[in-house]
Amino acid sequence: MDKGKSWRLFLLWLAFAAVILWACLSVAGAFLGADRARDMFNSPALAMFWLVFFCLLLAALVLLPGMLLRPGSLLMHLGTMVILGGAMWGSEKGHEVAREKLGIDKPREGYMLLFPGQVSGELCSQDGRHIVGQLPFEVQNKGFGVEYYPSGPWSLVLGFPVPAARDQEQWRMMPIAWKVGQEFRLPGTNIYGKVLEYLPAAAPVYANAASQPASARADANSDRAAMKLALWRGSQPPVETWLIPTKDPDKTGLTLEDLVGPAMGEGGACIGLFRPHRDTKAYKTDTAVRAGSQEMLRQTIEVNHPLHFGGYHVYQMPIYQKGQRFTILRAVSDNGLYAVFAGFAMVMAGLVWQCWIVPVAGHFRRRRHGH
Amino acid sequence: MAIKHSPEALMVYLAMSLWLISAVARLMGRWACNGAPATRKVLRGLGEALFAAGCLVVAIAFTMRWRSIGRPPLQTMYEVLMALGVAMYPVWLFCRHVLGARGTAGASVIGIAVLVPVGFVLRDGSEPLNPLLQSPLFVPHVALYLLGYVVLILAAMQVAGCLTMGVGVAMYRPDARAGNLRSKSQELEALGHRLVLLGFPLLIAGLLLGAVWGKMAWGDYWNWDPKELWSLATALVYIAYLHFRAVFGTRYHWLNAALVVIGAIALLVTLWVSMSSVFKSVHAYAA
Repeated sequence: MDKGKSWRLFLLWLAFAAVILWACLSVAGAFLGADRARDMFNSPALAMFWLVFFCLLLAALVLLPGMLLRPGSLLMHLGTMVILGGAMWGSEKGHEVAREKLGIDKPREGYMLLFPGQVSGELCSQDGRHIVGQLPFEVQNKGFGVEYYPSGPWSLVLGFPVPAARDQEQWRMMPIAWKVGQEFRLPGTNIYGKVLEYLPAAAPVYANAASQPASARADANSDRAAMKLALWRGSQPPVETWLIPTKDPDKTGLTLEDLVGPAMGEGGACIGLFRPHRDTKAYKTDTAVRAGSQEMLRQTIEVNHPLHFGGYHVYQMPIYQKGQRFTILRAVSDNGLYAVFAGFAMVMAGLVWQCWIVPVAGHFRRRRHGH
Repeated sequence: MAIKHSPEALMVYLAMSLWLISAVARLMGRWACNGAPATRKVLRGLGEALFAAGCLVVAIAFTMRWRSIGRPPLQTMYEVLMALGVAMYPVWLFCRHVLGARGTAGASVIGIAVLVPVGFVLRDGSEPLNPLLQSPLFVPHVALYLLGYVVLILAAMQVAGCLTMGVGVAMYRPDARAGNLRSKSQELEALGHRLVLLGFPLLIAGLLLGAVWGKMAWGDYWNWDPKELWSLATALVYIAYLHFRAVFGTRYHWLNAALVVIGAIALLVTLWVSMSSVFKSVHAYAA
């Protein structure tokens, strides 16, 4: 076997081993979990592996001249190199090298927590504890909101206080199946009830400057429901009342004793109206990009619809807790982005050529020649 | 395990029954009717028709699901496996008539295996699409992966025969029968290779679309998520196979076949990751 051929065979076995090793490392990483896998694949040991892999791809182009004659193979290997190069350039290490060697001082990524009206270009770490850099522009939060999918009807719930340890009170909650006009019994009591009216979107109606609403009216702009109940104990005449959230937008309740009088064993039981779980449809931040006092761009940022400006993409983070007014955005540098996308396109083009077009063309060529 | 009573579930059970009868008919046509070619032809035709009918029934169930939730049903594992069931017959038809694949009975059995979790294990509840999934890349990413999975599992089915014949060759060597087995084995391996050439670009397209989607959604191509890593491992097994075959051709065709089967096993693990509590994954969308 001539030396060239034995080198090529050695290279191919090395490539085969590298691919198998990479597959095994991926499986190991899957068992370690995302955070530990990230640390493993970004460790100095694996940085060497990436370098060796890159060199193997380069060596393939040099030592396998046949590769240059096969456009599919060439595109796939070149494309992989372009992806690796772009990903390295866009990595934290790549930004450090750009800063030290080329004087390009650009933070790779960071987070911004912006209250309504706040303008900032400062990026902080994910835990918010330290500043990691400054964007070349500023972002203003002109309004943050969460949209929800329409939810089902509100839940009617009976709650019993249960004394817990250290005199803290907990509640045992029991849902009540309800339908407008249908009678029900409150479990564990001799109280009966009926839902007289249900308004999925309602506003409270106050009588004579009272602190509690006397009734409710339909209001399409409201996100709170209201329910008119009739409750009675035994043969007593029913007491009618409205349940509508006022202080807490998600729930309201009334003590049964206040409504239908005291009874043994109920111990402060309440009847409540609770908002059902709502699925989030969208997180939206209306933003303005500012350079000095000038507004350069206005855009609503949503998940899957980032803002692109000044060499950065700014993403909406899907983070929200009840009562939260601020928005959390993440900015990521564009370094290497277009190289990676170009590499993806090259790999796909090479695959389609090598795996689909070449075999099909070969088949038709053989048929034409009568094989 | 529980039996469901919804119209969708009943359609799934019907499809499974049709595919079971299809597999039995095809196998009877192959093995039990050596002296009756007309009967064999009828049984094989019946098997084919029932395979197609089962696919139509699953497609109806899939359409019913689509209409009830108002979007392509590809979010939960229940929906994904149902979609795999829909893709089974059309993909098989293409592989058989264009690429020469064999084993309609085997394809029916794979279809049944895919629908068993849909019919008996997975919950059929649906959830609204969360903001991360509201992307134009969602459907192409999942659909390409599904098509790739079907083709690559069928490829493994082709070469599985190659591996069992390898045992036969080892036992009969150097008998003349070993020569017959070897050439049949190479034929199956070549069939498997054609299917891998079809399915592998679909797998890679799904992987790369996922990376683009990740970049558009939260700024990272890759999150080192267990499902992503298993998908990558699957792709790398097939890359290793293609490199090995490119260098050594069919000289070690049993090893080629083994790599294709290992790739299919990795693919099945990738599917299972979504349902498993062993791996904590952002892709855990099993209902």
